[in-house]
Formats: sequence, C-alpha cells, structure tokens
Amino acid sequence: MNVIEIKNLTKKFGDKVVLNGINLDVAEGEVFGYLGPNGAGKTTTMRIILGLLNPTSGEALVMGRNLAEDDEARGRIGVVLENDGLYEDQTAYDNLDYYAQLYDVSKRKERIEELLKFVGLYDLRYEKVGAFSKGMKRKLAIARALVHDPEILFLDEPSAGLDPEAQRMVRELIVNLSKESGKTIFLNSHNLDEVQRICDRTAILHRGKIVVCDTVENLREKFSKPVVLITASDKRNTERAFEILSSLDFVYDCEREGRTIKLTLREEKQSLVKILTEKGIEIEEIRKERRSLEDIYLEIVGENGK
Amino acid sequence: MRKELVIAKKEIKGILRSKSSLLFAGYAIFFSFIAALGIKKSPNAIDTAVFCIPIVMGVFFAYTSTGKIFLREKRDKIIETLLCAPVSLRKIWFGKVLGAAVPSYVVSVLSAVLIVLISSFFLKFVIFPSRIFLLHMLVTTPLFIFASVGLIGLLYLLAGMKEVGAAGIIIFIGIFGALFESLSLTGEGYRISLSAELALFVASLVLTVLTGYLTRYLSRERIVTTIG
Repeated sequence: MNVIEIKNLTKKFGDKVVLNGINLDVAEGEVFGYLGPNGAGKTTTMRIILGLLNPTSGEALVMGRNLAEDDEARGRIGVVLENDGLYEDQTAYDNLDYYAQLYDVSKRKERIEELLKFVGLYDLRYEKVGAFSKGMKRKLAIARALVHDPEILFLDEPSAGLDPEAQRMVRELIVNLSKESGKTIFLNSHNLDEVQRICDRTAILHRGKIVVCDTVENLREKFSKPVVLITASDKRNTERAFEILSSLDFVYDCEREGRTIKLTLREEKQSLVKILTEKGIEIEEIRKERRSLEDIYLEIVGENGK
Repeated sequence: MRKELVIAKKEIKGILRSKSSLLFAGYAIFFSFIAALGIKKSPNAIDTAVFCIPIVMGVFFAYTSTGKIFLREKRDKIIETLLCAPVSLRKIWFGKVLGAAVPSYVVSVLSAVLIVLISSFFLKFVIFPSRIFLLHMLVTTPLFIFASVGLIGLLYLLAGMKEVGAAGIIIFIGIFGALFESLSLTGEGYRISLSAELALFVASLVLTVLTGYLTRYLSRERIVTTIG
C-alpha cells in the first residue's frame, strides 16, 4: 500500500520551474531516499508534501490526504527539517513536552522520558538546548518528531552539518526506527553513502525531474556497466593481456595499474578467461567489481547535466 | 481552544523568563513614580495618567514581545516545524497573540495599580480615577493591546525579513500616534471624557476587526517563502 503518492507535481516560482512533473510513490514501511544535488528541488518537494508550499499543478498525498488542508493527517506524520526547529532557550524536556501537547499525546511524561532514553539524552533532559552540540540537537529533533508515534517520518538532510561520529549515530537511529518500529521514512539527502546504507529505494532528482527511481541494487544492475579486474601473473603477461583486451569490441574502457587491468565492458561477457588463456596468458586473479551508488549517481547526474 | 492555550502558555513562560520582563517591571515602577509626583501636585491628573501610561506600557511591552514570539521564530526557521503540527494557522497565530497580549496586559494593569498606590502614598489618602477608568482598563486596554499584537504579529508572519523591520516600526508609530491623538480628547482639568474613552474603544474595535479580517491572508506558503 502506498502511503505517499506524488502525481504530476510541478512547482514554479515566477518563471523558474523548480519541479517539473514529478511522479512518485512510497510504500508503507519503506525507507525512501530522495537524492539529488543542492538546488535540485528536494526540499521544495518535501515542503509540498508537508503542505508548507502549494503545488503549481499536480498533487502530493499522504495516506490519501492533502496535508495542507488536513490537521488530523498532519498529526500522523513526524518531521525533522533542515533546521532542527528546537527552542534553544528551553530544556530538552520542555521542547518535547510542547510538541507532545500540540499532538495530544497521552501519558506525556512517560513518552518523553522513553524517547529521551532512546536518543541517549535522558541525563540532559533539564539542560537548555542552546548548550547542546549539533548532533545532540539533531537527535532531540528526531525524538520530537517521534513524540506522537507517527506513521511516517520525513527527514530533510538528517546528517547534514554533523561530524562523522554524529552522522553515524543519527544513521543508526534511523535504521533502528525502520527495523524496530517499521515506520515509513522519507529521507531527503545529498549524501549518497547515507542513502546507500539506510534506504530500501531511492529516487534521483536532477533539475526538477526524477531521472531514476528504484532500489539501490536495481540501480546498480541497471546503470553500472560491468567492471572486471584482471591480475596477470607477471609484467610480460600484463602487457600482452592489455594489448588483447584493448582491441576487443565489447570492451568499453581498459586501464592498467601494475599487474592489474581494469576493464569496463559494454555488456556482461563470460568468455574473458577463455580468450586470454587461448592466447597463452597466465592469469593470477579475475574478479567483478561492485559499483557504488556514487558512481551511478555521478553518471546519471553527469549525463543529464550535459 | 486547547491548542491555542498550549501555544500561549509556552510563549508566556518564555516572556516571563526573559530579561525584558524585569526591565519593563522597572519601567512600570519608574513611570508610575513620575506620574505620582505630578498627581501629588494636581490630583485630577490621575485620570490622564491611568488613561495614558498603562496602555502605552502595555503596547510597548507587546511590541517587544511580539518581535520575540513571531519574528525570532521565523528568522530562526523554527516556525516551519510548528507549521507541520496538527494545528491550523489561525490557531497558531491566535495562540501566539494571546501569549504576547496577556503579559502585556499584566504590565498595563501593574502600571495602573502602581500609579494609584504611589499617588495615594504621596497624597496620604486613597485616590481613585473616575469610573471611566474601569471601562478603560477592563475593556479598551486589553482590546487595544490584543489588536496591536495581532496586527504586528500578522505582519511579521506575512512580510519578508527585509521589509518586516521597517513595517513593524510604521505600525508601532501608527499605534502610538492613535493613542496620543486620543489624549487630545481629554476634557477640562485633565478629566478623561467618555467621548475620549469611546473613541479609543471604537479604534480598538476597528483594529481588532481589521486584524481578524487580515488573518484570511495567512498562508503557510507565504510564511515559508518569506523566511530568510
């Protein structure tokens, strides 16, 4: 069942088209990564979904409802925007308590204490948020977003501006949320590593259009040309192998470093070993290389950017 | 009404904890003392004093509080998160207006009480303003403060961050201009006439209705696109 549905969504600011006919579905329980470079339109999309901006055309529905017009539906989602949205002159406890009241949370004290323990800030609950580090603030913002036990969580660049240790903590928190409570998570990010580690499925947004939307694994399958690393037994074999492989039609690119040759193929080929051994070349090792999402992302954004 | 009260309570707590509250308590004592010195010489002047000083103190306090409540929250982008909560935009606005208006009215009442107490102390007898004072303090003053806070708050939400400072000052000057203009309706011997009080009451009412009407222009998009 899809809990987020975006249909032909277009947003213009004056003459500038920020989003251009976006279509997107997110299923219940899915961790969805919305990926794109700065200025691609990720935050605009999220703001329209959350009802903070009106679409120029098309619609964005959450649980079949338009959040801009539906207070009750907004009560079923949690948000952590790029700005943490915390009151720095108030304590961690008071920040959560304020939102707990706005979201009509019953047994507020127990819920707040449970969440503060979950994010590891229980001992600092009566400290003013202004004294917290960025990482602590982000964790508190996540706790605030969870205070009413929402069905869907929207996170806009949750690890942006954090040091690597804090990034790791925030990621673990998100993974735990997804695994333990099965929440649907919509994650805006330009951090490929983050999306790769956390998300079930991802869409890549570029210049206001979704250029691809699939699982990370499928993206690898679809977009990566096969890469094979061949290590020859010695220098002479390496030189000969390089010569033969460079001349093959199905080889897209061929690079050499020491005794290792890196081949990028136009298509998957099983006959490489046979070709080389028939020519009397001794091979020490042959293996396929996995391409990272970053390679795919750069390829897609690069191609579309041309 | 419950969620508006939650918002108002949070804002009132924030204002009471701020240094400006102490500062305004000091101002209230100072101006009441100065007014009492004048009343000591001319006891009839108590009407003018309680007509003018409490409402000016209240509106001035409201102006500074509104900046904290609306403008800072918008400038720091905290308001975006609040806009995602299950509370309508009008309720958010109303809660915040209430949060700024209630402490401002308390400052106003405190000023009036101090003027009466200090004047009585100087005169060595208990002096009360004319009966119009009750209408003034119980109806006109809270209405005027509420409308002022509402209008300034609305402007802070709708205007861009560059325009907001200048526009806030224009409204502030306009409100004080209206107040001092109403003083010109003071009757003989510093007595506040019913017409003066009614004029201010009608002005407050018009301001309240106008502010209420303008809330229809509140929109999440307008607020979000005028941040930063």
